[in-house]
Amino acid sequence: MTQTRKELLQGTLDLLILKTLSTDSLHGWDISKRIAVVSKDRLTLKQGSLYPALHRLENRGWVEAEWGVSEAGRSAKFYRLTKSGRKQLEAETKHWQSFATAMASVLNMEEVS
Amino acid sequence: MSSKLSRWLRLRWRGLFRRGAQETELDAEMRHHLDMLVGENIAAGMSRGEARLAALREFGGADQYREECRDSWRPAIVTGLLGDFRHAAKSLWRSPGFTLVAAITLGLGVAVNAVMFSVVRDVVLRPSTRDADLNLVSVFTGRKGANPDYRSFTHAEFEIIRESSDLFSTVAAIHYDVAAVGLPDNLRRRYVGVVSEEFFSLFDVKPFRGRFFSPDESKPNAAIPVIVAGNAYWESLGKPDDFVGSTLRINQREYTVIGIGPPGFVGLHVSIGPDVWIPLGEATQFMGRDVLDPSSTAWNIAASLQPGYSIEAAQGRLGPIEERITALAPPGDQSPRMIVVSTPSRTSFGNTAPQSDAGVLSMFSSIGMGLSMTVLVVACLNLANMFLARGASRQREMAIRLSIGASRWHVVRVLLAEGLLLALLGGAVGLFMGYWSNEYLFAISHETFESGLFSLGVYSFIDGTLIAAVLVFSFVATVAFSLGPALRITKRNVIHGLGQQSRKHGSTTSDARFFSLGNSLVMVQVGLSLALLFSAALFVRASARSGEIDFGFETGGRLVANLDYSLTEYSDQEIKQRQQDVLERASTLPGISGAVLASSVPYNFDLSFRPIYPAGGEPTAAQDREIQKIFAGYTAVSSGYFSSLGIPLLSGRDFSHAESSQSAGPAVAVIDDSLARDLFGTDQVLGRHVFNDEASAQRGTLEHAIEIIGIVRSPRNETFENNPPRRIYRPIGQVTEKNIHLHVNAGEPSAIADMLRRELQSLDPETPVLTIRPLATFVEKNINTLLVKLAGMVFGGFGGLALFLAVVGVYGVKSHMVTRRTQEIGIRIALGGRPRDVIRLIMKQGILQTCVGLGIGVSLSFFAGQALSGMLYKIDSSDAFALIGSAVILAIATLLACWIPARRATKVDPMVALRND
Repeated sequence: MTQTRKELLQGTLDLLILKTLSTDSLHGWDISKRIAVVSKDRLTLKQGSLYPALHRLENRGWVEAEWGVSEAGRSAKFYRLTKSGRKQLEAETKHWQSFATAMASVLNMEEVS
Repeated sequence: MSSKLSRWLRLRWRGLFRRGAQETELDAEMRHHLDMLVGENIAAGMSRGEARLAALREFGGADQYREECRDSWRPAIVTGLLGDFRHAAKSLWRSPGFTLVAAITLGLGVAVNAVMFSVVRDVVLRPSTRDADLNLVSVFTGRKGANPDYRSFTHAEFEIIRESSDLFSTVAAIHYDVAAVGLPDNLRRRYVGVVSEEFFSLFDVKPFRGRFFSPDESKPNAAIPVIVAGNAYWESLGKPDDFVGSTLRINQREYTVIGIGPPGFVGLHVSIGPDVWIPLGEATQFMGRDVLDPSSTAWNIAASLQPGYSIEAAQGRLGPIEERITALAPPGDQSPRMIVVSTPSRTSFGNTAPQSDAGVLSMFSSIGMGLSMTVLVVACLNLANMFLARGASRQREMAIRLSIGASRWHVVRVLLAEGLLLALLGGAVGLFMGYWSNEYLFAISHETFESGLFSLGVYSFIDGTLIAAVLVFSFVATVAFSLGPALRITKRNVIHGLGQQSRKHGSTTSDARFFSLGNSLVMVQVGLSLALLFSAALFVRASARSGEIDFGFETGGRLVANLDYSLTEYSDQEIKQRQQDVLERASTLPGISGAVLASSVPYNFDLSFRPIYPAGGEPTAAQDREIQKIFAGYTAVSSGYFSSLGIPLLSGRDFSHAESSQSAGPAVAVIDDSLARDLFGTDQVLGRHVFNDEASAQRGTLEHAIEIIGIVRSPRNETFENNPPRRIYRPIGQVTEKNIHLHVNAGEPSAIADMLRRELQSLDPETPVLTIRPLATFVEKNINTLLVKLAGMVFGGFGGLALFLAVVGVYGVKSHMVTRRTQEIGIRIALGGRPRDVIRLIMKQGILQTCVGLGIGVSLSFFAGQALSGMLYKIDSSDAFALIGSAVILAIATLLACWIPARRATKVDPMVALRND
């Protein structure tokens, strides 16, 4: 593996989860798999830390949960984005992008000079 | 939106209360994830064991995540508060002694306030809100001019007012009277209200059982014998189920009970009221005179004003009614009449003139509340001290909490939570104790009214208002007693607290300072306690004095039987004969050494006042109108009455047997010395004459004059009277008194009561025996005697409480101080200090502080005395004996409370004390 895995920046896990849930209603295991696949395994996260994050999001009303049956036939808790969660996702995405752009321009400037 | 809300609510609900389910779900969720990880690892070729370990590593610390999840479940503020309370409860539980004493202290304070408040509620708050809600007024009539000479209304006048519906929405006529209720074998003399049909709708009450009067029953001379019973009366009969529909005998007439009033309803008055209501249609039969007769002024009027009218506004619009009422009067007496509306009196029955009792009631209740609030303040000072003492010993704990990052607010919050828990605990204890003492007081007053004429209508003690009040008391107390100490304890700087260990010795610590917070609180408390104790002493002394006064007659060994011949069908002549028979029979009975008759009994409700006119005396200062008259009490007696009751005969002679038994012969009277002086300006009046009717007095001839043959000193008739009343006595042979009291002298009065009743019934089965009671009970059960006694008990209780709390407070502070100074004392003893020196060390401060406290107390007592002297008739507001007595008792008690810890200090073992950390 040539690429090193990056530790998550503080506060980005929520955004990742919201993004992951934006298309589908998923349970915890699926979410962690999805993040691993999409990030091409470059982000490292202790999988257990998903759960406090999910509960925090649920508590804020950005996601809601329902018990259902997984593909493997086991009962699992499925999380789904709520309306306000979707708004939050948009806001967070914008915020992150402008932050990333700003960071990038600063770093580029240093490289140039 | 609503689904969002419901989701939010569901989550919160589960977060707070369904934690178990949430935990289970979280476990299942995490286990699912782990299982999937393990499965993946196995698929990658690991052994089961390896796969499991790898999965756990990958997953991370499950316990920590679980805890983080839990944090997100509960709202922060609730967590905080719940945590505070849990913490507070734990810390209270750990020190049960402290908690118990604190809860009882607060409970006592709350209990007296709850009882006092319930009295104020029943006596002032409830009636005045009711009167205000209903816009209730009393209506009075008098002559226009300087001397209004108020009187009751006639029925015709009542109708005029009732028709004035532009001003009054409901108008009711009320006439109070005393009647004999029940059958001859169980006759009782009780207050009865004759009321018009509107009476019950005026107060907007619904019958508890049955119904109230119909318009037909209320029509003048309808003569339909029905009654409505008061709830308290029904209760006193044992709440018979078949009471409605049964018949009740009142003054020789059978009445059918058609309804029972609601609990607590007594009409206009406070807590006491008539047993039975009779409809206006029965008035003629009941009062024995035609209700429609223009001279029949019998009615008090209560009315509700039309909505929007104030008393002042209504008063301005009474002109047309006054004119119509003036026009009713017979020609020749057309003096213009006036009508007055005013707030109803709640304390006096059947008054015909407007008078305000709001002042008396509110003064009584504000003094009562004031005293009981002081008890609460004393209790709170105590608690504050206990909290301070406890806080001081928790200094290290607090310092550690603050130094590891707890905010001061947070620590204060925990301490406040402790206070609030204690307040609830104390409030509960207080409510319980209050309930108990209220029941006790109620039982006592019930006993009183048992022998009186009224029924006591009482509301239940505990209701929403009272619980709210108790919560307020407790809450105020909490803030008072825990916030101060909480702020103070946490103010100490951290280093000081942590360094406490090494600085534990030394008298320089603030607790030992003379004016430290704890000591100051104790001094204030001693001061307040002295004021309370002094107030209590004043009441107790007034109560004792009322028992010691010279009655002017002897009460022991005498029995009084009340016979009311107006309840029989006998003619006047027959009645006189039967009274003589009774007298004769009673004097010959075994065990009875003498018998006399009298128309009234001292200390009984006396309604016998009538005008007396002097014949041919010099004019005196007591001049009234053109013909001089003096109102005096009137009693018809048989010969031997004065010696039998031990009433001193000052000059002249007693009535002879002939005067006492025959109507023939010259009219004679015995008067008391004060009446003699008022009539003639001297007490040398033997052989002079008086008149008892205005017509004879105007003629002035001695034809109908009554000769004065003796002068006596009248017995006292009331607890509060400074001078016995003026009174005239007539021989029972020369007048007709249907209602008489047979007085017999017997060694053991209560033992012969049954025998006497049997003998009287066997003499004549129709003998209307109402009650047979020892003469002493007339004094003991007199309402004023009882009120003073009750006040003495209640306020004595306050004083006792204050004393107890002061002792607990002083003891607490001193013994805490001794504990804190153990090392210092140990060193002193180790260096050769004698026990006496140690005691002196501690007592010196105690004595000085007690003196300061007493100084505060004396000035407070001065104000308390001033306030009380307005309320208590026979009180010397600067009663030195009471003040010094209270101060001495308080001083001894507090010094004792000081001395016990001081003694303990001398027992300090220097070795142990020095080794003490």
